Amino acid sequence: MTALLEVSDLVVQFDTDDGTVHAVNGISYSLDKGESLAIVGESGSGKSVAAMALMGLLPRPQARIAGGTVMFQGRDLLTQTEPEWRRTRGREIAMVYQDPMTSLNPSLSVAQQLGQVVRHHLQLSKPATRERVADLLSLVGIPNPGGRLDDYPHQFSGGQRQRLLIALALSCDPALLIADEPTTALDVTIQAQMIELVKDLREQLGMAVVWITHDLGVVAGLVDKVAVMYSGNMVESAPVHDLYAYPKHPYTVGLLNSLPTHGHGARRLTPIPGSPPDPLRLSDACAFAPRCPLAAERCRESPPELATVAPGHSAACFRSDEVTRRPVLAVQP
Amino acid sequence: MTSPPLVEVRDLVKHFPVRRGILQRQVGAVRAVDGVSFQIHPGETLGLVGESGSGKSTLARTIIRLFDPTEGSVVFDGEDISTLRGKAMRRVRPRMQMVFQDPYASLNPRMTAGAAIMESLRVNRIGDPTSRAGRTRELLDLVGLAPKALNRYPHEFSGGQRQRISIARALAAEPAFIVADEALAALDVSIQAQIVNLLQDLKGELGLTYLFIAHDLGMVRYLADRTAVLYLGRVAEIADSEDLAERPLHPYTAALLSAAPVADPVIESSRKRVILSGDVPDPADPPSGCRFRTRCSFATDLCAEQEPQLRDLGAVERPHLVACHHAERIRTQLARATPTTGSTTI
Repeated sequence: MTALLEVSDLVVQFDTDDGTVHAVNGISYSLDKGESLAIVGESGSGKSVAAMALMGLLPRPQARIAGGTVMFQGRDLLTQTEPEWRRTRGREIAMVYQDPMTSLNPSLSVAQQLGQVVRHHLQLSKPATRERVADLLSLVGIPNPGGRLDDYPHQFSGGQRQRLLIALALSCDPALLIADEPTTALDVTIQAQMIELVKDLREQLGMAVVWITHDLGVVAGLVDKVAVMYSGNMVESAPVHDLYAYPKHPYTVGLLNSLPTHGHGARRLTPIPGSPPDPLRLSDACAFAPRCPLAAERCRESPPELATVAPGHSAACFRSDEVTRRPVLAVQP
Repeated sequence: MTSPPLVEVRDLVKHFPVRRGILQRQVGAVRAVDGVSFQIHPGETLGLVGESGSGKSTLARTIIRLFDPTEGSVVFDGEDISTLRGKAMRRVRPRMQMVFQDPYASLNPRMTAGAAIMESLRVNRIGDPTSRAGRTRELLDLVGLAPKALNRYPHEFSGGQRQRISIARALAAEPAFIVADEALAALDVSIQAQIVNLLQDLKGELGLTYLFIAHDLGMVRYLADRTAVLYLGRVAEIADSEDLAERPLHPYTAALLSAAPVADPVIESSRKRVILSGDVPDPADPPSGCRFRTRCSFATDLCAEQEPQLRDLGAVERPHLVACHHAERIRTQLARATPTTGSTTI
């Protein structure tokens, strides 16, 4: 079976007055039909830029796709023309954004807003469109969907607005849903509602999901596999259980150890020292070396390649054999 | 804890008027904080959690008198500060400082880090012009920034470094009490841990007392000695952080804990979540009786009629206050469920 989505060596750069920003430096991953993947990284890791490339939404002319291919259902998205993109976006690949307050048009009612997308892609009649929108609202759990069709976004609460965005994304049964930090602006209670909703819908509709986040906690119970990005590179990729139990990259270990998993005053947190590198300078060594407790001479000389360390599990680290979740603590200065 | 509290909040109320019409007549009030009492002891960290709209920030700002309370009082170090004015208030101000959520918005972009810290010294009349330069360098060192940071502007720093400058600014006033209002929320995970460790070190070194407001329950449990849970302007539960996390007595606390994600796929795949339906009701028009009853699975007729008061269901010397008519029932139900690391399920 060929994969639904196959990203190979994707490179995205931004031309700025200060020089070229190396946002994504050759990442590869694949996703089967109905599978879910989390892309985890901190601000500036390139995770959102990589997602925008899948939607053909990179700002032009500043952003440049400098290499790679994105094969989706057997065709390369990166060579698509704009009219072709308009048929893909919303229909085959849909996206949910971080901020539910700014991603909805405040001057359109729900029926108009969701109806636009449905009519554009599915060419339904007006009454059929309204019916479809009402179905979508009930699918995402908005009470009394029929009675709320003519309401405007401000009449919905924050959590309901995020549900509307999900309804909008699902309106044409996409094969792939990209969720870019959709719960970051929400309370934990609403976040839990969203996670359950996306899980349910994925099972019901059988779509593949790419969930982008900076929080390893959020995706632990949500996805099949996890890819960790650092400074534009994919540093580790593994099935979800392996990644949390046997991380093989020191950065992943650092992220896990930064979380307070123990009770009050149990032990000092182990932060990753320093801060991420300047994306204007492309590192010719391991980009994580300056912050890594295991960094050796070799790590400062050449960049490690992503290599398989176990079935389905790969890491870009010269010393991945020595990486385990706990003992790294002792090596910390 | 036998020492007198550093901060004592008594029946604190903060309402914001809602005005309508040409005459701007008051037609109602947003009851952001609606009768809150607790104490914070010297050297203690009190965590404050709740959803957006629960009144956490308003409460914190009313305590340090950035807002004037509508009713009730705040006693700081033995002195009622809720009605202090002018010179008397200026004398107290430096002793209570705040670190805000957004280090991008809370620093003046036209001021170097050195100037920003120096300003805090000058405004709070600490030292003289000659000693202030030296003190500024000491403060930078204290928060883990190199002396070269002195002449740099906010945009030249990362988010974590900016938060360090904000902390140095707060420390410049030589406070006894610091309110950290979501001070970690805008930072990346690896940087959050750096700032948490810094806050812990400073507390030990300078004997500080914290009110730590956050929505990340794991972090609050880790940092705070005791935790207060706020719902629609009232305290739902307040207890030792470990007790609260392991044995919550209020259904709202249990729901918050169960909603918090755990970074462990094994736990995540086996636990059952209590999903709260809906959102926080409008604080201008809270439900009758218990404010939480509209989202509570334990609610009965009693909850609609009578507002539950805080009661102590804890052990001797270990108070566990909860405002729920059915706390005993919840306790027996919870005792039967097995608690898991960092989370509790019912």
